[in-house]
Order: sequence, then structure tokens, then C-alpha cells
Amino acid sequence: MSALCLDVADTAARLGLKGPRAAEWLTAAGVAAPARANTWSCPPAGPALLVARLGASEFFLEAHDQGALASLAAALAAEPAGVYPVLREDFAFRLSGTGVHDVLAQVCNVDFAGLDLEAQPVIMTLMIGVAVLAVPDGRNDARQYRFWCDPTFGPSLSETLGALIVEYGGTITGESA
Amino acid sequence: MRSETSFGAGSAAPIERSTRRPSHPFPIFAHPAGKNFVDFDEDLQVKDLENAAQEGFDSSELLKRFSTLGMGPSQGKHSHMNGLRILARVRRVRVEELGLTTFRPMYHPVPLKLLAGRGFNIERRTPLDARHRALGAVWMPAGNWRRPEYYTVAGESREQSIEAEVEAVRTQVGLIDVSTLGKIELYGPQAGTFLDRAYAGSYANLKVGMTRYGLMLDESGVIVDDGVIARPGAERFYFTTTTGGSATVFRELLRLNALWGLDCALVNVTGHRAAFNFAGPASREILQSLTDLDLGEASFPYLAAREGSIAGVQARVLRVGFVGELGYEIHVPASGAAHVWQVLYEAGRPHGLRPFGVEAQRLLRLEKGHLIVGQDTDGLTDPFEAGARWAVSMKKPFFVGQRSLKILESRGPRQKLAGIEVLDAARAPKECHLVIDRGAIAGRVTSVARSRTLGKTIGLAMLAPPLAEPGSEIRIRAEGGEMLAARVVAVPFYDPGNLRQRAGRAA
Repeated sequence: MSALCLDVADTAARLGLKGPRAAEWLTAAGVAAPARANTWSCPPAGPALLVARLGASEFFLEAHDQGALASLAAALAAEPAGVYPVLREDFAFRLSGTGVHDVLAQVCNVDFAGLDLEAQPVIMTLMIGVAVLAVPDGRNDARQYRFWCDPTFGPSLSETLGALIVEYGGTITGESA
Repeated sequence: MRSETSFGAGSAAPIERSTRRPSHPFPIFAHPAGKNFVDFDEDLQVKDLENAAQEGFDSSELLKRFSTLGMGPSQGKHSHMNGLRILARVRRVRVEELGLTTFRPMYHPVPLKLLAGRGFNIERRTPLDARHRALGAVWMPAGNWRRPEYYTVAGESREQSIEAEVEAVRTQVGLIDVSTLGKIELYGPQAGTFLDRAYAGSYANLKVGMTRYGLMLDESGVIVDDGVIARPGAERFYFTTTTGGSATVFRELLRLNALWGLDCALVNVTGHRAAFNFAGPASREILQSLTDLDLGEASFPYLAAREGSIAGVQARVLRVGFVGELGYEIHVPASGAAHVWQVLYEAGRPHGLRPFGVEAQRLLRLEKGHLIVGQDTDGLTDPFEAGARWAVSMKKPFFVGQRSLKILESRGPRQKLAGIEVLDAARAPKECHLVIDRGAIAGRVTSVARSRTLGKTIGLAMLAPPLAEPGSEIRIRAEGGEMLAARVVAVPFYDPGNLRQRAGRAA
């Protein structure tokens, strides 16, 4: 298993939307939205795209190809009825490696080790008092977690989390100079 | 207990599951050093409680109030019952005979793992944090944010820097980061109806492209928050809340939306959008060179809201006047904030621009007589007392707090917020100093500052209604018991006709 790591590198594009017709609109746009709330899906076709359903009528999309969400964003800007844009300027980071669950147990009340990855869960919880969105990824014996939070909490959260990672013998990657 | 070592001895007898034995009869063990702490929050030892009982504070209520037992962060969850057992032993009665003090939530004990866990202190920083640092910001806490109090300049004292920042806004142009304001988007066919219910003013009739002040009340008619509500589209609103109230207000609005079931949706973009106020007589001329928006008076009048590009970044621009000058509140996505700030800063420097901090802003708004919720209001202040009747639309069929306001309006205000100017040029009271009238407390100073622009010390004070009329002379009990004379005056202190913010004209 890899070493414990906090990776704060982030070049992904993100898009948020909500509203009573959001699910229907996404489907019409060719994006297969998760059927259940608080789950995620990753459509196999096209650029790597994560679609997370945050509730009955809210969705969060992330793509590593900056252009992958451009057409959806343009369509959303046309103000379709019952579909509302959600500005996503999140601070995003990834936690992985040996001891990741020990670190998470120090900062979060969710038992990440006990999550059923087959269910593709989206976790909304507090980390060090900051509201975060989490998606587990990887195999059960080599899990990694992708997190998003309000960008104004990002610097302080990453400093605090980074100190903890170092204390546990891990490393921090992706920091800008 | 120090001499009775049998206390606390365990019992070898098996206890059946059904037997009632909630806890040990007396949990204090003698300690060789003689310090038997009972309450770790308040550093109370057994001897403190014994002494309290001997002084006559020998009921559970009196013991608590005299000793502060259970008044710390854990609210007695680990110490209260132990303290009662000690008192029972001193009085030689059973614990049940003492009775309990009032228990407040949480009712269950605090888990030890929480007490033993790490402590974290997370701080929010705006996207412009690095810019402020580079400009010499002196930080101050604002809720869980850190904000520039003012910017240090070589050779200037704190007071000189703040005065210079104020002067730049009044005479040239200033730039302040107001990203800490709560920012909420509201969409849907019934968005206007929702705001009409949630806020005291009227918004369903707000024209697209305009803004209106928003005053939020609780059910008892008390002012709990305020902000500016803009209408970018027929079914779109964008509004601000106070810095400290953003999370609470958003949570309350979500609750109300779930309760009322209206066809609208709320989005909290507080951290995802940055905002700055670009204000001063030169602001329009400078900003016009950076935007595709027509900033002319006819196309972008006072209180209008427009969407356009500033320095290549899509922005929402609100023409509001919190600091009392021609000004534009510019809201951009967080990722574009540093760029737009820097472009504005560099474009403004040849015109004498200075970035200004919270202290300068407080003085600028005080000169205009604008209240700050939570500073000039308290947990009982209603709009009539705060002089904000104009922001309330009582004719609406319903809004939160309306029923209470009807009662309060018929009763009349118990206090009124008024402008004051201190008559002694050399001395000044501080915020929270009391107003004394015929030997009794008749009010308090809520805001006060020396205004170089006006050449006097001005403030706001919450006063008994008979004292709140312009021209009244009041006496303020300052530090050391010194009594300072002040006069009640009409607000705004500065530019009473609001000509500068409305048209950018000199007062």
C-alpha cells in the first residue's frame, strides 16, 4: 500500500446545479445521473466525469478535462426552467495511503473504513468543523478519498490537515510555491 | 473524605442487572497532595465546595452560583453530580434530598474521547488574503474570518493610516475586500414571495436590475440581520447578509423554505464569490475603463445592479452606498478575485487609491449613520427603535416578525438609536459607555469614533426616547467615572442629502 499522502493539486473543472428539473435536464443532456441521493456515478463514455447526487434535486459534476463541462455550463447559463446553477469554486484535495483512516478518525466523525464502496456513497460531513463533501475511491485495501469544501476554508484546513499528515509520517503534494 | 479511606472502596458483591445503582455513592478519593479536583473546568476542589457549604451556600442552587460549579464548558456534565454528593455528605443528607439544579441540553454526559481529542481552530480567509498580506494588512478577527483592520504604511501610525484610508475614500477612491459578507442566490418562480415572507421589506415588486435594503427579523420582531437584495432576473435574486450572520441566516432560510414549500431554491455562495467595494469620487471614471458596462448615471443609477465583465471576469456589480460615496460593490467568482482586485488596485493608484480596512469602513459608515446589526442593535432591538421603520412594509400580508411588530408599534419604543456628537473635543467615550440621566441609566453608546472629515467625535447611542430627540444634551459616564457631555444630532452626520452616493456630487 502507498504512503500516507495529502494531495492538494487541483486542475479539475466543476459544475453544480439544483432544482426540481435538474435530474431530468441532466439526463436530456446525455449525462447519466445517479438514481439515488448521496451516491455518485462515473459515466464510462467521454472524458473522466464524476457525477454526484447531493440530495433529491442537487448535482455536483467534476471533470479533469477543463472543456468537458463547457457545453453543459453554456446550456445552464440559458436558464432552463426548474434548473438553477450552483457556483462551485471548491477547494479540493485527496487523502490516500497507509493510515488514512487513522487520520480521518482524528478529524471526522464518519467511519470511513466501514463504508461500502459498492454503494458508491457520497459523504457530506464535517471535517475539523468544516463542511466537506467526500467520495471514496480505489480498492478496499488501497482506498483514497476525494474531498471538496468551501474555498475560504481551504488554506486553514489544508494547513491543519497537513500538520496531522506529517505527524503520521505522511507527505503533502501539489502545493503551489 | 481525606481521613476516611473507606470511601470509594469497591464492592466484591455481584450486582444484578436489574438493581438500581446509577453510580458510586461517593466518588472522591483522598489525594496525597490534598488537591481533590471536582470541577476541571472551573478548577474547583473538594475544599472549595466544603467552604461554600460552611459559608451557608448549602443548597444545590446556592452552591452552584457561589462556587461556579458546573458553569464551565462541560456545563457540569462531569462535575455536577459529584458536587452534589459532596454537599450531601457535608450536610449529612441523602443526595435525593438536595434536589438538582436546572439541567440544560445536552443532557447526556460529555464523552471522554471528546475531551481528550484534538482541538482545532479553523480560520476562514478570503481569496485576497495574500494580496492583503503583501499590502501590509494588520489582521483582526471577524467571526471566524480574518480581515484587514487597516494597512500599515511606513512612517504612519495606526491612526494616521486609518485616517488616510478614510480620506482616500472621501476624496479619491478606496478599495475594500468585503468577501466575508454572506452571499446567497435565490431562484424560482416564487423567489419574490419567499423574500417577502422572510424579510421585512417588499421584494416581489423590486424591478429587475435594482437593489433594495433587506432587514431580517425574528418572530419577536427583533432585528437579526441585514443586507442588500438585488434582482438580476425576474426569477433570480442575489443578496448579502452580515459577515457573522451568513451561516445562521442561510440555515434559517432553508428551514423556512422547507416549511413554506414555495417553488424556489437557495444557493449559498458565500465562499464561492468574492466581493469588494470600490468607492470614492473617482471610482466611476476608473471602473469605466475596465468594464463593458455603461456606468453612466442614466444606465447605471444609484441602487442599480448590473452583470458584466470587469477586467475579463464576469461580475455582478451593485451600486450601493454603505460608505457614503459613489461606489460599486463588485462580486466575482473566487477564482477571479485576485486578478480583478489587482487590476482595480493598479488602475486606481495613479488616482490616489488606498486599500482600506474594517476600521476605516466603520468610521465611514458611522459618518453616514448606518447601523451595524449586532453592534448598534442588541438582542431586543426592533426596527422602530433602530430607526429602520422605512425598511419595513407592514402592508404585506405576512412576514416573519410582523405580528410582533404590530404589538411593538402600538406600545411605542423603549429606546431609540440616535446620533450623538461629543462636546468635549479632547475626550471621547468608548462603545458601551452608559448614558446617565438623573442618576439612572438612560442608554448606552453603541458606536463612537473621531471623524477627521467632520472635525469632531461622533457616535450612535441607544437612548431613552425622551433623550433621543435632536438637540437633547446627554451625559455619558466614561472611564474612571468621568462624565462627558454630548448632544443628540440628526443623522447622517456626513452628506445628509446623500448627494455623493446618489450622483457622485460634492455635498
